[in-house]
Amino acid sequence: MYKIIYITLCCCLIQVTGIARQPGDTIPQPLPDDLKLLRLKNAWLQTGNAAALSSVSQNSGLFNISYSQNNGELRLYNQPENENQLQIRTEGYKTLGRYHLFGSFNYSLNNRNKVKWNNVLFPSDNNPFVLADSMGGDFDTEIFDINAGFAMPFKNTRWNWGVKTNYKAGSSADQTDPRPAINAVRYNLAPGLTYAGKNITIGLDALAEGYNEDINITVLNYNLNHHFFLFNGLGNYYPNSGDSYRRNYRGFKAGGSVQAGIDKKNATYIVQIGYTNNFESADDGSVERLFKAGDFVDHYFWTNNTIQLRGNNTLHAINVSGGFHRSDGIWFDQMSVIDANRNVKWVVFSESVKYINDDVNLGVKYDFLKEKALRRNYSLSASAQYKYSNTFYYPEEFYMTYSNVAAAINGAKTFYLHNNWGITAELHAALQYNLSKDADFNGILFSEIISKPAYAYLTADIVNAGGAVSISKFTQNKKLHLHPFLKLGYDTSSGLSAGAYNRTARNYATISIGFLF
Amino acid sequence: MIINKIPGIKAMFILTVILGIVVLVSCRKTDVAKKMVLTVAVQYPDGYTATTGAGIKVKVNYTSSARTDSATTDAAGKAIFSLPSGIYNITATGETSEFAFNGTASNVVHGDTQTVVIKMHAASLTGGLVFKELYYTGSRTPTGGTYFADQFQEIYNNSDDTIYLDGLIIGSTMPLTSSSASTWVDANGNLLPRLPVQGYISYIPGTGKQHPLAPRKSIIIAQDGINHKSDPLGNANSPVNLGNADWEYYVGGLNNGIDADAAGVPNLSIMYATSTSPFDQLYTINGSAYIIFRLPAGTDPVAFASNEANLQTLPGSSSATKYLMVPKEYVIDAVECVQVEENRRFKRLHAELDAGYTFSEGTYNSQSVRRKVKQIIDGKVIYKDTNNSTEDFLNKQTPTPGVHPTKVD
Repeated sequence: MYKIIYITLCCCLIQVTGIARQPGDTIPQPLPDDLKLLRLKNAWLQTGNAAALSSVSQNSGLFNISYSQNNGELRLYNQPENENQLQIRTEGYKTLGRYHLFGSFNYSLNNRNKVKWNNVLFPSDNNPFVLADSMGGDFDTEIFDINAGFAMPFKNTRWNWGVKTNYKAGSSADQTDPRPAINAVRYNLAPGLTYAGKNITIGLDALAEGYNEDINITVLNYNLNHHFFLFNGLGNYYPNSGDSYRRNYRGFKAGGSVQAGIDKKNATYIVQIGYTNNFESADDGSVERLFKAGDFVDHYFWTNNTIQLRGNNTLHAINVSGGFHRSDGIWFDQMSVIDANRNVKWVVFSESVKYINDDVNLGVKYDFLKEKALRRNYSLSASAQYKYSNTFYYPEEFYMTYSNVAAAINGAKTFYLHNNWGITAELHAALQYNLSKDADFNGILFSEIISKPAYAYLTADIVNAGGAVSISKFTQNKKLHLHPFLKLGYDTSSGLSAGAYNRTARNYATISIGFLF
Repeated sequence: MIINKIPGIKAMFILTVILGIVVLVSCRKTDVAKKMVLTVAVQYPDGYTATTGAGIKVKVNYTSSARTDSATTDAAGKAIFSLPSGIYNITATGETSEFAFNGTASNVVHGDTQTVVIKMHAASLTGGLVFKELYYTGSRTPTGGTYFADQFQEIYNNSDDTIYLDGLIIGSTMPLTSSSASTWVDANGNLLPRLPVQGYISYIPGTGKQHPLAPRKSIIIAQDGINHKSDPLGNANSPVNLGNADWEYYVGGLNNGIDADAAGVPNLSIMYATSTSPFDQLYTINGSAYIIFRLPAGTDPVAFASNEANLQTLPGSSSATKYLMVPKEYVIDAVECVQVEENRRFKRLHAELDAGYTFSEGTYNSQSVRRKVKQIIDGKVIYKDTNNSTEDFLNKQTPTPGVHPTKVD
């Protein structure tokens, strides 16, 4: 099934992006991260409104294969000890008359080694209802992530409309008892609308997303009784055991945002506010004996404000963002009863919100881009973020609260060499510093192996530094523009604060080869 | 106002109002979890001098975690707890010089403020036959395989009188494991007054006074009466030598000789078999509900089991398998061995037989459960027997068949 989708989408994508360029195409050819710059330079594209694709007039594409590794002890308790990833990615923008198209296809094959306390793939990050077994293991994970979008104007009007869609499917398996086999899918549709007035542009978009995930745990050695942990927040869990286990997640996300922007010749200002409602429900066992393993509800309110100032070969962009998540984890107390047919069933006798999480995120980012003949000369960026998180577990009133501030700087410079060669060097550094923290896990059975390690990681002071270098060759002829590149990157993070993560590190290395077209 | 001159501001205002409505609609619809009062009212058995159980220790176990809360009843016989919603097992225990009092309420659904009444049962402390030790988890072989032929049960004479074992029957009840609620219940969900017994139900043969058991002595009943440590068919990692067991289960006569007969260890007689497929009398490694019982004097065990009135199929099942139904009044001692998981401890035995349960921490761990020693007088061990194995038994024990502790537990 995945292969069919893959081949079909590849064909579609090549069709959309068009490797062969049109005669007379004078758009400068991109560097390896040129698509990133394309988004940076197009403020409306950053809103996510599908209709904003209308503002892209550049035909650009990318194909690359990358291999990356990361390892180290500076990680959350349920993340792999080390991980290898092979990734194949292609994406592109194409304009055909009134139609503006976008497509991307991403395939990744991950070996996630020594993963514990985590038998799930796509639930939302802040969903507390996580299934885990007692052993953990090495997971092989495949993920297909496909995006497509188009936009077009309504004829003879100032209105543009567009639609984006995403299909993300993954499978993951661990070949040691107990053996989880996970199949998950998320898919969404996001229509958008913009109206370009004389000085102001107004936009409106919506999102509808479906989610489904099946987890089937089996064993080959039936002589062992395995434990399954139905986590429901802060390390608390509902226990189960046996030689098999099944879970199904279903979810639906709906939301939308409104945008208003002022477009001047050399400046753009866009303000955006949005709301997303996310619901995910976990059911365990068979249809005949269903156990409700928790409902997750998340309200997300957010705003995004961008100011862009354009000069001769320069771009200044300031982005101020804020978001507030309120997440509830609803637990169902159930009892096992025998029905009239003497079948054993679970019946809910009480439901209540046991888990509440509030997250506040504030961020500001400044980007500067200096171009040379419409190519990047150098770029700089600096950002600062503030995060406040407050999690409660009721009725015991276990809690975890913390606030962090993080700052990051990034610089990149492209050197243009003889014979159409180019080298881009990039350096970045970041620091996360904990401002405040407090927690009470007293009474949680797994506090030492789940709650406290998670708390220590989330409140750790962390310094990060890294760099990347890429070499590109610009080849041009009238029909075909293919620019191969090779990119190497290395990144390391180190824990600074005293405690479990002091002097621990996480290292990330990647090699990427591909071409732009 | 100048703000009104900004193009599109009205549209933005309308859209913002729409978003605000969405926010209001999305307010929390489910209440936040809270603790609720659970009052346990304890009553003594009918006929006892007092009616309300003051000074009784009450324990509440949450069935989905290791959480345990304890309290002692007040003068009104009430113990009050503040607990989260959930399912709880409640035990009430007390003791006088004559009686041990036990009461239980299993799988109590606590979803609101409520009072649970527990009527206790009295168990005489005069002694009798009791299970001293049960080894059922099995062991691991040197190659990591599994081995459970080394199971045994040890029965002890906890009285000062000789007890004749002729006609003593041993077995385990349905369901096989404690993982789910028993379907052997009446219309009110209470366990049936007769216990459904399964497996190769075996008894000590004899005419009445052929097999005396002296006071403070025990017998060992082995699945296979061999030295499991050294026998070529055994397991070098087994913790037990059962070559000197007093009795063994031998079922080869029913399963075409699949079960080997250990020389030198007498065989129990088989009263009834719910199936002749198993290669031996195997007690589940997850923990059985063990019972020893006697039939009324003069009743032949095989004749009893031949009477259709004493047999019953599994309720709600089309299976033709018939289980032996034993009135609970026939039971001499019973021990509920459940699974380690808190939510897999469904009771199979009545509170008056065993008000609690014991369990092993795992399977194939070479560990047994053993009754606590209450007293040692003149070298004679008196085991604790309050008909509550939560209080009476120790788990994580190295099996010691035929050996009695020299210290009080």
